[in-house]
Amino acid sequence: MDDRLREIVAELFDLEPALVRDELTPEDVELWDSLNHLRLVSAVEEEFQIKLSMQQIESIRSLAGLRALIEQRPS
Amino acid sequence: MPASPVLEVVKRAACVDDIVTALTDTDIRRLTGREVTVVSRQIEKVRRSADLRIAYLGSHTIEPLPQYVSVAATARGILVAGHVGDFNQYYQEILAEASELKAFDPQLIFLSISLRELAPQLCFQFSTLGAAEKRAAHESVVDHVMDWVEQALKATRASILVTNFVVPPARQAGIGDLHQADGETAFCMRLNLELLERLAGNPRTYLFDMEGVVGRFGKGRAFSPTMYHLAKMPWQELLLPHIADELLRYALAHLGRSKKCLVMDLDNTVWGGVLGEEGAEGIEVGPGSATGEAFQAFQRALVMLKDRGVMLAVNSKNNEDDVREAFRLRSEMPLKLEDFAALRINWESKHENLVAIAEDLNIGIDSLVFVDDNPVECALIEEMLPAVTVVPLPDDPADYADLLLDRMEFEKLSITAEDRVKAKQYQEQRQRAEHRAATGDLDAYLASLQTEIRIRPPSEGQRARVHQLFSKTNQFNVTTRRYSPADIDRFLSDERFVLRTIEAADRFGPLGIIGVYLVDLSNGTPHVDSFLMSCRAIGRGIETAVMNTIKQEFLLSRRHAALSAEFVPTKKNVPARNFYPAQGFTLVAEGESGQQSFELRADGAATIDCPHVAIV
Repeated sequence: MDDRLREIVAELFDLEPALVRDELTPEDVELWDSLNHLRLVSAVEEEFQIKLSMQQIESIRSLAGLRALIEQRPS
Repeated sequence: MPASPVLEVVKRAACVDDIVTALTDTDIRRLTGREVTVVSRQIEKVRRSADLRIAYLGSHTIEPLPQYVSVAATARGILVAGHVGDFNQYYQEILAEASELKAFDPQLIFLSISLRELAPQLCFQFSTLGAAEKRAAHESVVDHVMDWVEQALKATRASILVTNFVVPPARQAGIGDLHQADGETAFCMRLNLELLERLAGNPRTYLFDMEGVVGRFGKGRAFSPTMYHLAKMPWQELLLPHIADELLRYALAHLGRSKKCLVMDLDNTVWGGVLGEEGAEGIEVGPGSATGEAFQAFQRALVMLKDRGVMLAVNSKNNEDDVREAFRLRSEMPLKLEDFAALRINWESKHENLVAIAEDLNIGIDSLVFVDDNPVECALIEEMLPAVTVVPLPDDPADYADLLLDRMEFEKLSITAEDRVKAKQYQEQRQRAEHRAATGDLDAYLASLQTEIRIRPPSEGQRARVHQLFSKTNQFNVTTRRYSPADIDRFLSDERFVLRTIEAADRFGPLGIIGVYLVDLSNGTPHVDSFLMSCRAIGRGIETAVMNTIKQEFLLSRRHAALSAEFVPTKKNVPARNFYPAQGFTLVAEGESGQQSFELRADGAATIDCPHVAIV
């Protein structure tokens, strides 16, 4: 996983970076509620210079899903 | 990822002071949402106490606003504990007997309601409503908000901030809405006007101008439909630091952290050019040139601050006679020499002058804000007197006025009658000092002042002034208890408390309400809980005359056998340190932190002669 994504997730959800894995879902993380979901997306949008639609944001069910959206971005 | 230096320091911070230091020079508005989250979380980890408890309630999601408030407040040395009510549960929280809100015991409640949840028909079908329906909707919205406010006033001790409604930028009827006297725009403005009127009368309720904050930020970008649809959070995150800043204005004023005196340089600050070189006719201020107009606007801003109750002072390297001549010859200037409460115009160093100004006005150094165009002088003051707030001026004089009017340090929750005439009172104070110098003999001087005092329970309209004295008096204050407006209401409605104001006047004019005392009778023995006086009234025996009245009421009348009192030392209340011994009280106990308990028994009590103060 991109170190930058790892750090964003670790910071926002107050996790040890080593614990940040692809399989993480909102159910696994106490602070991952609907609002922090949006704040995670905002941080990612800013960091990776992308813009996700509301439907894309809603479709993210795990970190892997978010990572896939980041990787789709035109380079 | 660009490393954020603040974040690195904050993450390692072991105590709150480290975080305060790291944040002091940081522009909070430049931090990303993620950084605010990390910083606020770290503050929560190391914070041992809170200066202010704020509850946030709303009809929509409010998080993460409290994080922004906490970070912005910490940057100013204020630690905030926050409580966030559940989404749209504000009514339940206030009605439930044992709600988390009540247990939290907030000092401030921030209530944010939007019409979208409260009255959806207004938001989505406004144009289908008839006149009667609109009237009914108006009343039901106002009733709902005011009913909530009433409940909150009863259920908590907090002061309450109620947000007004944002006039929608996209009107359902388009521009045609503005051609209707009862359109959506008019409806929203009327609601806001009525809320303002209904909240203005009570010293515990305040309107929070969300419409203004959102307008300054930009209505078009303030709302995020994505955030709202996904998380019921209407605001875009970039708006949050602006809401936090506005809230901080209320917080600072509520805590009595407002600054009292604005100290001005003159050359290239109050006017353009150097008086000593250009002469009184040469300095630029007033119509005729753009620069002159900018300085004129700045002077008008200073007059506005003066009328708000901020004292003005001059600290300038000039010849005093030249300055007096300039104010006389350039009488078209908005500022007059009489507007200044203290003048230090000489060739001494500016930091020495600042100390002298604080002494003149009987206020602490940390109540001063210093404004100078010269970065060297500014840096010197920051170095020599770190407690003084220094405002360096930008290059362009056109920016001076807004810069100063926008400062948080001069906010007041309400403007009292005392505030409006403060400059005049200080000018009278200066005349008293000159008169004293002329008289020479202190006793003869005090006699010639013809001081009169009046001791009364505060009227409804004077409660704001009482709160102001409780929150702002630092020096002659025996216990420095910062009572809230709710506490003051309670003291006045409970016969176990005697709360009195001291109003003074002399031959130079009225001094207004200059002191307050509170006697607590709930333990049987009357106990002087608070006794405080504004410093400009000290030194003429008023405190003794007031204590005579207290002795008379409780002891000499034979109503009680003894009177107890206490002194709690602070860094600033040295002037009150010897008050109780001087009034004949006996020290009965002393705590580890220097707290002293005193007693005065009826059989040993006597009034102390103070011939120069008449009680009327």
